[in-house]
Amino acid sequence: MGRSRNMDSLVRGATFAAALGLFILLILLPLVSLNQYAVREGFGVFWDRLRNPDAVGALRLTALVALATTAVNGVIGTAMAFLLTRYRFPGRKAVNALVDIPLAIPTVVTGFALLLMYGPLGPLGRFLGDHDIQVMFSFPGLLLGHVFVTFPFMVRAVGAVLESVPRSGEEAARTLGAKEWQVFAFVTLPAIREGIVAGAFLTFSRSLGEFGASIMVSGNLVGRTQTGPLYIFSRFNTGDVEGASAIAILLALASFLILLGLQLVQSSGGRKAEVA
Amino acid sequence: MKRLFVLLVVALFVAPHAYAEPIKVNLHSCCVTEDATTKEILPAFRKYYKEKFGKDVDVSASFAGSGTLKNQILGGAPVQVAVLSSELYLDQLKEKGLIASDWRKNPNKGAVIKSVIVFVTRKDNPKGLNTFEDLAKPGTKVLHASPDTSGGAQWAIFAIYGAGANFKNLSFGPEDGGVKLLSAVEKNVIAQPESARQTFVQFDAGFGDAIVTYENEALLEKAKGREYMIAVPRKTIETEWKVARIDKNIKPEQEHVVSELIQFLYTAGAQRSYARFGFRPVDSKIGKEFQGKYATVAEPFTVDDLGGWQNARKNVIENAWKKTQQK
Repeated sequence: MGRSRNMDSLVRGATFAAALGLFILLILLPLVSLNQYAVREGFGVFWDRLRNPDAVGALRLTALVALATTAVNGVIGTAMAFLLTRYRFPGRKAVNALVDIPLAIPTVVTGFALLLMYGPLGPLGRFLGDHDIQVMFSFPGLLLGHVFVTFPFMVRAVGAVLESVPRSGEEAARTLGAKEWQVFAFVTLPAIREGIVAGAFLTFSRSLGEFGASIMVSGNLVGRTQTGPLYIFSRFNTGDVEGASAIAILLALASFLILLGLQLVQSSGGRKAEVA
Repeated sequence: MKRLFVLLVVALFVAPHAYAEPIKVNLHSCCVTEDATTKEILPAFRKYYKEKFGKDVDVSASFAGSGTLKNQILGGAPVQVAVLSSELYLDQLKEKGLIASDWRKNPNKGAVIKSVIVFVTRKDNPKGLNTFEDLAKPGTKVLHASPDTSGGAQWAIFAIYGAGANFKNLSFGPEDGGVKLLSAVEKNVIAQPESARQTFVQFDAGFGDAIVTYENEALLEKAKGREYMIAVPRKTIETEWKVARIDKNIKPEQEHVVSELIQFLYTAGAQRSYARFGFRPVDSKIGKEFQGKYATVAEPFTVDDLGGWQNARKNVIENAWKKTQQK
């Protein structure tokens, strides 16, 4: 008995060490090497690269697109999550499976599909073109690409919470005479808040790093339609590895803080729920 | 005793095998040369080397934008020979100690193939675009790749600038004819994808009236059956791809294959292969054989007319072009 407990702790220890070791090797070390490159020429150069107007423009655009994407998917994704968890309709399973498709499609293909749809070859694109509305190679094009690529995050995060929230609260509110919008705003929404926050954080982070669809639909114009990741790629290709690393570090750090924030929000939410 | 026997048997099998092992050499070549290189030149070189020296060689090649390839070599890719679209990349490799020899000492200062910058328009050229000045007309939508990632795009920008410039008086200021033309054309540029190939993807999807690109790329698209038109501007730039040995990566046993391979690229056979895929050969005799394939440029110029690669990159791209990108 004592021996098997020893074995157990040995196995546990080994698993722990292996998981941590692999995590360090596969995930942490690449990030550390990025750091080394970014400050290789000193902090002055690092700071200088960050202050470059093209870099600032790219980061600003990235933040704006990520915010807009989060807002759009916050609404559409939540609605979709409701549809999938609260209603039974023919084809529900198929729709449910389709929601995750953006994760499986190479993002470059997503970009090309959007070009075909909104370009002069598609009927919608022709209609927009006739009315002088340019969707691709501009902010709306980027937004469409990012909304597509990040779509599953909101639906899944909200869906998971919706599944676990008992409907008794909503029914009680209805019994007490609340109107449907009141039930939604004062009962359902607070109950799924955690899911919405989680989905928003994930969507935002994913949007910050989006590359494949962006390079197809943005037009990649320096200082105008070039996002952070595209700027990094072009810096790397011109041989400015310090510049590429500096911006990359900033984006990685932003994602890290966002995800860390998500953990904090979730754990405090969890504690509150326990107290209640 | 038994162990010794096993060792002997192993040695018997391994030794001759090691001896006959083909010599491996890696070639990095600019993405647009992929078809010509893999379909014709490398198989021909293998055959040539086997027949002449009785040994098998294994040349593997990798293709990407020249900037990407240069970064891979800087990052330690085991490459012995590189064919790149910009001298600047070779200079950078030399600065970092990867190239020790003088690649300008190869024939034609290292240039193995040439082309010119042209533009591609839609079927029947509905907007009547024939010169770079036409691309500056309001309402014209132009595509070229990003000069940050594509060597071809750098040539394209040189071509537009040079078409408007007076080579005897290059000031690169706002009154410079080249800068004026470049700014006017850049106002019409709707997208700058990563590479020349990607530009065609967007053009195929219906975007843009014209792509500024290499003649060989344009010929390749036509060969694929696309009904695009090639417009050869009256005044445009001649482009070159240059070859260099990456000395730092060459082991003694690879030495002979590397120098043979570089010489082979200049042979009539290899030059014809390049020509079949739309490049202009540097060997003028071979060039004559393919004369009908290429349009004549009335006023061709070279990067030397813009002050050489270093100056052209600094003045035309980092200075003049960069300014046109501000809103």
